Amino acid sequence: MPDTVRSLQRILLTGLAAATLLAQHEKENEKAKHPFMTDAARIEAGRKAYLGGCAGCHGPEGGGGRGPSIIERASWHPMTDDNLYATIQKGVGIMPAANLPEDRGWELAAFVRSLTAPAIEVQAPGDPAAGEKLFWSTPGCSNCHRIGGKGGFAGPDLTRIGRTSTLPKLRRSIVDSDFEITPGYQAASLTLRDGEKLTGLVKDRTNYVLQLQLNNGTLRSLEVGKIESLELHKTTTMPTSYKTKLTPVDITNLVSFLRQQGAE
Amino acid sequence: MIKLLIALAAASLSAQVTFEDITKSPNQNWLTYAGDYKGRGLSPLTQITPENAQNMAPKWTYNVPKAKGLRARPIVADGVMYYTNTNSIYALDARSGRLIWQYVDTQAKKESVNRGAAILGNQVYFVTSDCYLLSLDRRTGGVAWRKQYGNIKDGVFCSSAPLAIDGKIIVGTAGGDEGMRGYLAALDANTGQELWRTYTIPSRGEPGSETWGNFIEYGGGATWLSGTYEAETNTLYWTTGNPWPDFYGGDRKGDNLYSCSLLALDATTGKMKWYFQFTPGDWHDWDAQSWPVLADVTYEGKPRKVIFHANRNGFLYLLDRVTGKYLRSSKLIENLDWSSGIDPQGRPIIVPGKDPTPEGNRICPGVRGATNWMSQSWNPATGLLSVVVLEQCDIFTSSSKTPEPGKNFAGGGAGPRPKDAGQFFVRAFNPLTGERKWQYPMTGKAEMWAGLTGTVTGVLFAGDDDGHLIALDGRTGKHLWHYQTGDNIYASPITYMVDGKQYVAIANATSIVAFGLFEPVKSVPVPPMTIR
Repeated sequence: MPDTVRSLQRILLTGLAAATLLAQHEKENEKAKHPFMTDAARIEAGRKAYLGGCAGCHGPEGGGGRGPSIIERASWHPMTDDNLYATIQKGVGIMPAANLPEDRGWELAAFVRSLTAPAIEVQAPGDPAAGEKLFWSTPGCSNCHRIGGKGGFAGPDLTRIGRTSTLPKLRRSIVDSDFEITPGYQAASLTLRDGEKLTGLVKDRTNYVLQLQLNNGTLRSLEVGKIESLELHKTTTMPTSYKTKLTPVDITNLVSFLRQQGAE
Repeated sequence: MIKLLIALAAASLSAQVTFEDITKSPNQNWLTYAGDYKGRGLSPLTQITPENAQNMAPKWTYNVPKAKGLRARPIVADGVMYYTNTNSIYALDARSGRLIWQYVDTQAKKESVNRGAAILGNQVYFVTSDCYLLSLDRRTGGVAWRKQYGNIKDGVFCSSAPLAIDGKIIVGTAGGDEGMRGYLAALDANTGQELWRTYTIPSRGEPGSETWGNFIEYGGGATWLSGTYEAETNTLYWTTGNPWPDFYGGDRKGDNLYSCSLLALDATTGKMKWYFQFTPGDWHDWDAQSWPVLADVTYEGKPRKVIFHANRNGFLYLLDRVTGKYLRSSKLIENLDWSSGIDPQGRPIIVPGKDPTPEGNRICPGVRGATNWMSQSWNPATGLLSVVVLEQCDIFTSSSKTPEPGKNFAGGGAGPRPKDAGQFFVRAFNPLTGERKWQYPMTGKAEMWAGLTGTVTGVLFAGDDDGHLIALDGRTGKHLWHYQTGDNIYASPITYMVDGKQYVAIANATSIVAFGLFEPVKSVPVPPMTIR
């Protein structure tokens, strides 16, 4: 492994720690963006550099491996472009300095940004109009998800998903939907001591009280002492078959539509 | 799993909060900022009484994220409490205080206090500091739309609790201390489309503009509280803020309509039915942002629709609700020296020499007023209007410097001398005669903004100046109970019921605390739980 690649791995590993420390510095987001950050060709060049070096630790899509995931917490990701570039080039902690030529360093930074920035801020391929049609088709995503006050309740509201998720996470939620269950969307079946049976989504649960959203959207606050039995569903209510049911183009189009949600 | 998905996908709408439901609030619910449309601050709940209030105990606390000085009064619908902080809203289980969903608006370009939410249908509404009205699904927190109704570049910002009426959401504007033109707007509850906008300060050339000199374009007249509403006549009653610059009126000689006023507006068109100005040509920042309480009474032997209004300028007014005609007034406070009374037309009789000066002039009441935006409580059964009042005098200074809007310039300032610090009281008045029936003095640093909520049993809940929630006997002012919430209080209490149990809730600076009658905790068995 070339020194440069090892350096990149170390840089990105410890860059994550730096990102966490900077998490509260929200005003840094207001600083000007480097032009490469929205340049699809530069981002693609950065992706190649990333796959050659950083992916060994951070995973090919930034989801982590030997090193930590770098695609979480997009909604508040605080690092400025300058900080991200400096972290890559100079290294931090156990992550080594990349010392790349300036443009190559910015290309890599642009790709890493595309993994970690809110999806709405990142260029993405695909036809959003085709994705929108797919979203609202029957049966389709809107059976369970809402956008702009329309759609179902079984899954998270996606009206502003472009601002709260990254591109990789959007894609992962479609092709690997059981990777995680969004807090508040774990399905449960329970029987109360008076015999009533309920099914719904657990919005919150303690040893004393449980908030259940029923299938009709109604919220019920239940005293745990009145619950006879509780069955929590370990798997997501979202079908896991979309990876095969949808074509790669469909998925790309859907992601390109979803990433726009939250635009004014 | 697929069956479960289909079951969930078949979700249908749950019971909606209708306009008619709001007309019946408060009951077990508390559906408007003031509890009802009339601003009475009175609940029909009867479980907690003057006789058993001593048995009240805390039930839960919710620490609101990033809260510093919470102003909002919660609303509660069907056991869910909705609470706002700066650019954020939280849905809580009103029985346990557990979070159900939250929404934080990361796009807002300004941060200011927020006074609360409104609810209608399946939506809850609140405003961001940079003047967007948001409509969120009350079951999920999903945003249906986000509509801009003001621009911070124009000097306005937004903090008011919206008022939901039949198909419309009424929103106001803040910012009158730095130069702006206030207005009230109605947005379509379903789409956010602006239906009408009524400016509180006329344009140059419009009727009322002759009461201004320079700076009418930045004349103020903010509308940052919420308002009251009479469904029968479809009339909004909304108070307006001070003229700008606050403490120097040399360049705006005249009454400065419609600042420091109460406006009666047609809710369909926004057209003004009448106005009443409490403090013409104000130099003291005595805006009128206090509740117009709607009451039906017998006055001088005849039934009459009236408005009670305890004003920051130190007077308690009685107005005819149909015409806006002045009926009578009385003093809210003992330290009142700028006016010797109100003349038969409702105009203050000015005591000369009580304007701010460059050197500083001691004037009573102080800049925070004899009362302010904290809630009041009107109980028709006792005939008492309870009001939180502040006895304080301030040193008012003025500056004749040419004002520049948006530059944090108010034409002067005001504040008390250290040894002249004020004192808060809860006072109960017969608003038809002005007679003061009782008072409850508070200790503290005169820093709070807490208000009142009463119930038909006669118990009166108040935040105090030391961070307590207290219960008084609303008939006599006798102390019944108190609890130290652990922080200053800048908001007003509410009361509601879940599963047959009455709760009282109030926000202190950082947390919401809910109370109920003491019950021994029963051991909770953990149910058999399976995960599949």
